[in-house]
Amino acid sequence: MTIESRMTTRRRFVATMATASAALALPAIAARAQSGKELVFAGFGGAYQEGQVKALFEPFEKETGIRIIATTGVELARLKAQVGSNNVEWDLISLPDRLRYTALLEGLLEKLDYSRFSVADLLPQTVTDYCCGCVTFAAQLTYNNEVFSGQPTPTTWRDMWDTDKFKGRRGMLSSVTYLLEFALLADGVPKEKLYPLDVERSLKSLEKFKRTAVWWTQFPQVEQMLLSREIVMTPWTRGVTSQLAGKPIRVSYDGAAISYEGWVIPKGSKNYDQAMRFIEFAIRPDRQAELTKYIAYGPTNRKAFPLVAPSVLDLLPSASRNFDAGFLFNGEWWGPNLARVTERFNEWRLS
Amino acid sequence: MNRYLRSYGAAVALLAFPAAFLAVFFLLPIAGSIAQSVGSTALDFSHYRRLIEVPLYRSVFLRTLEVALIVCVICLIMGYLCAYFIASLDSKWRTIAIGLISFPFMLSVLVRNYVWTLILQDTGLINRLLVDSGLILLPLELMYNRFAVVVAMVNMLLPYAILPILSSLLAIPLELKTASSSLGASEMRTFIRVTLPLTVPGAAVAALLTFIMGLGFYITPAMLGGTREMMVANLIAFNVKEVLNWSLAFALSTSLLASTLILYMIYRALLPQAVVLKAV
Repeated sequence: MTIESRMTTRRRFVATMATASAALALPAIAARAQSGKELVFAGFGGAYQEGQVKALFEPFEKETGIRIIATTGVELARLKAQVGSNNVEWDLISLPDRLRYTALLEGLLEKLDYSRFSVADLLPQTVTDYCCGCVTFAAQLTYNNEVFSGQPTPTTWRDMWDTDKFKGRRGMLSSVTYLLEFALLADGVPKEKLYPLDVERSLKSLEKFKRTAVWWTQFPQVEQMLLSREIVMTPWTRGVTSQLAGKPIRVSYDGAAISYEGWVIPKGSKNYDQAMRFIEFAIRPDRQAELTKYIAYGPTNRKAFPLVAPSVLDLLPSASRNFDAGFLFNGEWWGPNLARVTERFNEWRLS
Repeated sequence: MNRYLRSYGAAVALLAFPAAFLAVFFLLPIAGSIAQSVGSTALDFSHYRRLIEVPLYRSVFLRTLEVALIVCVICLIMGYLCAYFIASLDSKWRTIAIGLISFPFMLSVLVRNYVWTLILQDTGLINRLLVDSGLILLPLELMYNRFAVVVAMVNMLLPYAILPILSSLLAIPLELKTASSSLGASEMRTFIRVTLPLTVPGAAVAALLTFIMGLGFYITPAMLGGTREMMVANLIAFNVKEVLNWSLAFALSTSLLASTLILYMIYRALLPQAVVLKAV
């Protein structure tokens, strides 16, 4: 996330400078969305956002005449600053469930008006009062399959922890969310009984890798580490994207953490009605299926599944076989516990 | 007198704009963050109490100071040697050398960290060379430890050490060296009695710059440090961005600022007055 935000800050800076100089010449340009005709979206940038522009924003403008200004650099901290200073620039965000609870606690979101359209076809786990599921994604066991050619491949977290059966250095995500769940699954906790997490048991299970694994922090770092065989397997979120790009990288959905991102409207958005219109548009099956052509995230609308090429759908977390093999990441539990557990995790790292 | 006053007035006028700029965009936000660290409504020191009570914070603070100090000392030594060499070059080569030193500033910090990953990791440049040439059997542990963090930080901070030392080396009149040797001093003695004392102000600036900048490193320990290396900036970032606990983040940054200022004052007190006036 850091990389993206760093890059986008620079990009944003350039964009701001460009806007500022344009504004000098053309005083009519407004800083925020023109009411009724424009919406400001804030995203993470990258291939995902390119897909959102092509599959969602451009067709939406064609259909309704409402233009979506796609900016990058979305961050809860910045949203908090905007809401706190009563100067909300953004009308629309796709927010990972992991951050939803914190956003709610800080009062950063508008309640969504579900009387305007039906969400009956969406995966029910992804629909809540303030957040309407737009894509599913997963953190799963990811490995370099060339390393294991002609041998059994790792499929479960137990396999990952079994360093006798599967040789090679492990990669570990240096952050508590997802990781502690995987460590518990490896230690034999059934996935129905994961939450509330037994943090101490999880750290004990991770002890094995404390000094031997490669602890990474930047998600884009991982592909290079897998391909150079610096590590042979790791939990990761972008393995399917790499596989679809033809890289010798494969994933296992057994025990994967399935999560989702949902459309949210920032508190105090000036374009609530248009934003709701957009959400209705964006959750349509054809739009959700179109998005999968750009990024390996799954649709949340079950009617979109038949519209996705089966070879692709098979790899997405939404496919029921995958969805059922994993567990649903519990943002509700993490919300109030993240700070405390991270403190404990950092202490463990240093001890 | 009149003239002095007039030029004084002009100086004040010239400084007014940068001063106003700093007040609005630097002092005010800092004051705001200090204020927020003790609660937005009533005075609340609970975040500071937390920093003292939870051992994690104390140990990360100590680590941060330790790493910054190590990096500062290495930068000072390497920077001095490098600056001394550059000062001995003729002006054409000196320009080239300064250009080469400034060149890395054009690369983003992130890219430079990635480069260090590619050099230091088990399958990286150094280990490949050593293993393939048969010098060692197993790759050396160069990454995910303090070594990697220090190497990358020195790489990034070295220019800040070289440039001030170089400028004080270049300011030494050549006649002084000639005079020293004509009075019978050896080259070593000339260096110790003439050159070194005259470059103390530059070295003092170099040390201060590298140490203070080293305290704020964030991406490098996260990417190259493995599990054990963690610095205050990493904890600040987590609290600002992930859990939105800004008060704790402000308490952390205020503490870091305060400890930097205290160290700075000790540093000033230790330096001879003449150097303080010239340099810091």
